[in-house]
Amino acid sequence: MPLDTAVLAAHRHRIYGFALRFTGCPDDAADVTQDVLVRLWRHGDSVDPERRTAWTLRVTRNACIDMLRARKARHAHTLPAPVLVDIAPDDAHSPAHLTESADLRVHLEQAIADLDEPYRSIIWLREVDDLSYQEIADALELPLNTLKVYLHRARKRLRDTLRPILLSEDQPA
Amino acid sequence: MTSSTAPCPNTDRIEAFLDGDFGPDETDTFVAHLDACASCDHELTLALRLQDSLSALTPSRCPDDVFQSALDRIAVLDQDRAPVARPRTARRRWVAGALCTAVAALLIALPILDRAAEPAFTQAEVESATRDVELAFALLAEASHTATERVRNDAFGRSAAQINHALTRSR
Repeated sequence: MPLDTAVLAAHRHRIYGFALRFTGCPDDAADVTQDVLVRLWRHGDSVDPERRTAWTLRVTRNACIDMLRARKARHAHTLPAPVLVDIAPDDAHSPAHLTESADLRVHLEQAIADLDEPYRSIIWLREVDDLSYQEIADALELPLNTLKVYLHRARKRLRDTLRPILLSEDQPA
Repeated sequence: MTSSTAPCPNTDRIEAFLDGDFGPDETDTFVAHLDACASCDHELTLALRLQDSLSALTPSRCPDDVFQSALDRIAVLDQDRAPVARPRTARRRWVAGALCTAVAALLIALPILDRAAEPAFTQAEVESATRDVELAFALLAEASHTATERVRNDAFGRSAAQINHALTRSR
């Protein structure tokens, strides 16, 4: 029995966000999202609802890997750099209007984008999407303890990368 | 306090401390260490700032047109799924085949039975015709059981009564 579209709607942002960060390309993310939503519609009903998020993300990750392999096979040139997501504050069209926090946000998103997999996915799924350790471990097919080690390592790398900016938060405006 | 520039091996444990992975005793020990170690205290401050910054990030949103395209694809697939009534088609074919077989058997057997008293037919021929008719009725019964009510009413109703009447008369 196919899933109701309301369930698909509930998963769409997470699927797209994961695919966008993984492939670094909005067009590829859109293709992956559509494929995964169709698969979720077809097979999601046979998945335990409590594990559906992890299942969906695992399918998304595999679809992204397939997409990157196909793209690599088609083009010998290097992959485009990962895109920044949601970086523009609503009222900041000029760099002059960037606040310090917005500036930190830009650097933070770039630092996350520069992380290797699976660190990038782990940081995002845990810190932004607020998934449980178990859900992330299931989605990325990692042992729970390994996941925690990777998460701590990823945070430390971000801290090291952003150290000058985080320290500048001490400075008075 | 140790110098803030001196690396401390305990800084690697800050993340576990923030995640609440320590038991009560280990937590107390680490908090006491933070009071004494400027390096770890400094790292903890940075870790907390990073944590605040991460929590301020917002998840990406799937564009509406991407979701709508997926729904359009699903609608097409859903239409293709509609003729899942394949079993029904197969059942109709089976009923039609059974009907044809039964009618053919009756067309051959009934004339023989109708004139069974005539010397032109041997006893063996009459018995064979009787078996054909019984087989035909068995097929009709099975087809009637398998068919939908509408098919049953349309196809079998009148003809079965007529055949039965012919058979009775031949005996």
